[in-house]
Amino acid sequence: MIERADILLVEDNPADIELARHAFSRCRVACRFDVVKDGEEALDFLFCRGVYTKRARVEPPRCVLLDLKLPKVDGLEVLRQLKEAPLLRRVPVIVLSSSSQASDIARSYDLGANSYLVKPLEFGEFTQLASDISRYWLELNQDAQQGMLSPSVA
Amino acid sequence: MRGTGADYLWGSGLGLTAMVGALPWWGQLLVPLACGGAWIALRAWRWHVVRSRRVRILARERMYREAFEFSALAMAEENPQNLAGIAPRLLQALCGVAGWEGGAFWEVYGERLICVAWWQSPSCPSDALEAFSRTHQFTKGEDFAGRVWELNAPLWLSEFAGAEGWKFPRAAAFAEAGMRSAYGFPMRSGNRVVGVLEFFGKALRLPDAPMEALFWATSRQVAQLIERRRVETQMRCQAELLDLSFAAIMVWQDPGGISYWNRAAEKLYGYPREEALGHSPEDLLATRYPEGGREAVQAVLGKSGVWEGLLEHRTKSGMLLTVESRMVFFRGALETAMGAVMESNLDVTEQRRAQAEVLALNLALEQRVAERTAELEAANRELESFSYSVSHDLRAPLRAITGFASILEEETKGRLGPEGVRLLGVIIQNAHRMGQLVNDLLDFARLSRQPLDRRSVDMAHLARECFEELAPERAGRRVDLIVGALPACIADASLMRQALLNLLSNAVKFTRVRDPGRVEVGATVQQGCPVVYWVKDNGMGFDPKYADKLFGVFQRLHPGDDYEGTGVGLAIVERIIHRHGGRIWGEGVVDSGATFFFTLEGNGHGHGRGGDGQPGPLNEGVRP
Repeated sequence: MIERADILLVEDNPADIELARHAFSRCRVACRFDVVKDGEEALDFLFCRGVYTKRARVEPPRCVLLDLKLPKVDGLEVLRQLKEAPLLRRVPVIVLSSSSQASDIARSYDLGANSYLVKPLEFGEFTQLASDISRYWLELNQDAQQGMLSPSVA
Repeated sequence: MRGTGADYLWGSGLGLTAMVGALPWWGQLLVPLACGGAWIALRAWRWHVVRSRRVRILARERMYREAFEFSALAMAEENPQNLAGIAPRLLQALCGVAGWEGGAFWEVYGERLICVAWWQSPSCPSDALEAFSRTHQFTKGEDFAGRVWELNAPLWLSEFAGAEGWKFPRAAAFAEAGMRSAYGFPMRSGNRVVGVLEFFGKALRLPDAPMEALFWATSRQVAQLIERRRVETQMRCQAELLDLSFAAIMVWQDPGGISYWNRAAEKLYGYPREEALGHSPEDLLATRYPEGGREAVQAVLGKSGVWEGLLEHRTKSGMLLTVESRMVFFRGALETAMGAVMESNLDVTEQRRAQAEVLALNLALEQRVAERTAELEAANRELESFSYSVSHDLRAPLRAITGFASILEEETKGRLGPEGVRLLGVIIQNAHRMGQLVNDLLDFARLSRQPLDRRSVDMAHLARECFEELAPERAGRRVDLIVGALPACIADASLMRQALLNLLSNAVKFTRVRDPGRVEVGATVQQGCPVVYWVKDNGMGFDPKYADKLFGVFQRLHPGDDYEGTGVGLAIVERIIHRHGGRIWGEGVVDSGATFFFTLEGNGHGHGRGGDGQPGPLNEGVRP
């Protein structure tokens, strides 16, 4: 069985992935990463389908870092399906996008995003952001899946 | 009056008896004999007189009858339109039998009595009376004729006694002509007086019964004639009116065909009246009915008596016409008991064609507008996705550049020479700058899509707020803000704030060379012109020859090393002002500060150029 990840990073840009790895590696709070490179893969991963079938019965990640502009299935659609799934809807989704457009922000929150962050341009800021995310979502916040290995009934 | 012969005879008989008493005996003996003879002679004489009187009366009656027959015949044969032509002959005949010297024929026209015919005996000329009568009109009750009209009964007047107290304009003329008596007779149609017959004479004459009967009969005839003429005239007038009508009018029956066909119908359809009469309009004009066909039209006509709609008709020359038709069902106007239909048609072929054309044009226009709108929408969508791409994709590599440069800087700390560190700094700095450019460009693009939310904006307050916001930019310097009397405006508050912020930021930036820097915000209010707001600084100013480049995107008049900025700020301001329907222009002199003017209405063309002295804008402001 594969160990449960702290963060599922949904990001198609390799440079951004590497920057994220660097940024999160500098954080005080250590976190395990899983990375998927498009929306479809993200859904497969979360719903344990396709190549991720063998991940069955593994708990979902502590949180999802979701880019909006993704190949195949876009970030908003991933968000929608996630928040509609009884097993997954409690997983905190942090949208991390380059877009600061009001429509994107509104749509994301409408679909149930737990947070909306804009990717900073400067690496220093990015490191700070990574540190804040890990501190807030992994350390300060309670695990949404605590003791919940059976499906939610609500 | 006449018939006095017997009285003379009787008078001569009395004289004879007186003479008998004076005779001798033998003479007296002879008297009875003579008396017997005389009695016989007297009887014979009386018989003769009575007989001759009867003969005379009979002759007069015959004369009357003849006169009446003449007049009746004349009138029956006469065209009623020629009433004025036969009236003098009628007067002459009546005067002749009744022994009057003259007569006049009066007709009622509305509220007036007018003398339309006159006859007078040649032996007794009364020209002045005739002239007076012909040139005067009388109202009801006025003069002798008017009196007859009012009384609606025969009126006899002798010596003009009883005329005192009348309004009698012709009294003097009658007297002058030597007339002593007059007889007036109303001519009635029903009980309505349509005219008056008037006779006058020098002798005092009383009307007798046969004469009165004659007059009654005659007057009735004439009245009928007058009435007939009136109706005929009216009908002819109406027919003429129908002929004058622009609409093609026909009257038809089914069966029976067309019984009336006006001139406009002749003209419109090309069939002369003779050709059209008797035909059914449907056959003649190959009528094409609207939806529902002939039955539907007949149903409506039968139900409500009126049908209105569009028909198609074919003219004699084969042309197809569209007519706006109105059919009205009417009864009784024709001799038959059956109702007829009056159909009046207006040719709307041309009108319909023009309408269709306009409709087609409109459709084409709408089509084009729709196409254009679709194109515009597509362009807008494209622009949106473009700016979305820019915001997303352009930033990613920038992030990579700055990110990896930073990581490199960090991880090679100490191993990279000072030049290497500097170069890395240049890379990071430029990536930042590009990031700023992208952001500004996005802001600029967003401006044109955002709908305006117009409300009252306190400009003075807004200016102060914006200036406060710029505190970081003027840190360590003294910049004075002077806000004059600024009228409020109706604008989108957030956009207005952006515009003022950009203008003030510009002013603060370019007053860096001054101590203290001075920024003024004011407004010029002039009757009949839009309010001109302005932002003035005592900064670097600019070369007026580049004034037209001030508002271009990424246009900068100063090297980036001296003054930071991407050159989008003023372009954004201009876009905001234009979206409000206003104008913006700048004036400046190198090293002597710059002033930016803007209005929020009265969008005109041409920007006032700095340097040519007067701010053209105030004068241009009145342009529509």
